[in-house]
Amino acid sequence: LNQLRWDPTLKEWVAYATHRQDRTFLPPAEYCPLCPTKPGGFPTEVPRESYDIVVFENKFPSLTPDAPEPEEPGGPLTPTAPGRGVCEVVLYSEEHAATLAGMSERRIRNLIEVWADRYEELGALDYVEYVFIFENKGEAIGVTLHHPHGQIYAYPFIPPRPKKELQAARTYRDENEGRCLHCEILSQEHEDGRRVVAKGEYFTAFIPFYAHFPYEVHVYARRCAPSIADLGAEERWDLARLLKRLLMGYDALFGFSLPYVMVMHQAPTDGGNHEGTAHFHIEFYPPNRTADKLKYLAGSVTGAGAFVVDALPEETAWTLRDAVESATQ
Amino acid sequence: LDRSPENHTGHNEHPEQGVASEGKTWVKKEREIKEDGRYLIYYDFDDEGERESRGS
Repeated sequence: LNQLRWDPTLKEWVAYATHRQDRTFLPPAEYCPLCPTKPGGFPTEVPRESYDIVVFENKFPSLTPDAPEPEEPGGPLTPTAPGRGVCEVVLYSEEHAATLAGMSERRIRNLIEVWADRYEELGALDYVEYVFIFENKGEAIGVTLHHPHGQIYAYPFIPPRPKKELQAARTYRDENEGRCLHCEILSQEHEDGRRVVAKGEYFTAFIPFYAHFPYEVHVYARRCAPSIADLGAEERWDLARLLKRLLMGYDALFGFSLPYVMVMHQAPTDGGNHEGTAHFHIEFYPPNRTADKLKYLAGSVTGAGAFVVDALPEETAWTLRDAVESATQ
Repeated sequence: LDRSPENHTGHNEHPEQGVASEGKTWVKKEREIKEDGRYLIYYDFDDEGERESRGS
């Protein structure tokens, strides 16, 4: 059952989806539910024998379109609400062992087309306020299926982190003659240059001055495009090329396929005007601080919300830039 | 409190499909309903040799 409970101390919704305890956990490759269904083989999520890119509703969703009223009524301080939304899985390729880093620029560009289409289609639903596109990669992140895929959560509210970011951008815009916070950050990074990892014609990848993870990279659109759907054809190609370079660099960094969380921040679909505050960008959070050491979100981060980072962005950016250059030569 | 989902007024306004999504490249977008009621969408692209070359 899907339900939301309000946390009045942090002023945010918490989603409950107890059926997710039963989801498939790291099956052997021959029983991968995300591979195409082969003749005589067991039926997977995809009935066809072959596919390009597939999107389907998650079998174990955190949110569902027909979520009923919660049986637990909550109280005045702690209301509940139906966990109404959509959770989709996006299959990047039919090849079980592929990764985004190893895919062609054209396939990544096609994926961008699909992401943009999902943003528009899900965002048009009247109960969806935020379309959150993301990928969890690697067992270190807690993935339960290795087949290359991402996910989309269409939330009935603007989730806390994007909301905080949008509020900061709105405040900045109001106090600075309408200027976009993200455009100014990008300008500062270009001017300094030390944290820039890779540049395309329309996008820039950099480790932000205030990165929370040693190898956290943000990929910003140069133009103040509110969402992925607002990108033109050339911008989509450029984004595909830059993502490919960055991901190849990530894999070259320590000599193995680097785990990461990838998320997209963009305009909410709540009907509001987010021009000048929402600036489409992608954020990557790899958990590795070295080849064999992970950053755990322990006491200070989990309990206090205060990140402590072991390496300076200027130094990690230098290392990662070198990895990108060597991997793409 | 934030507006709860049941109080959502349904005021989303989006550009018409095909306007904001400049440069769509798929040749077919096919929607199917699975036995358990979930939908599945196939996006097929007209990329010659792409299936053979992927992963390279």
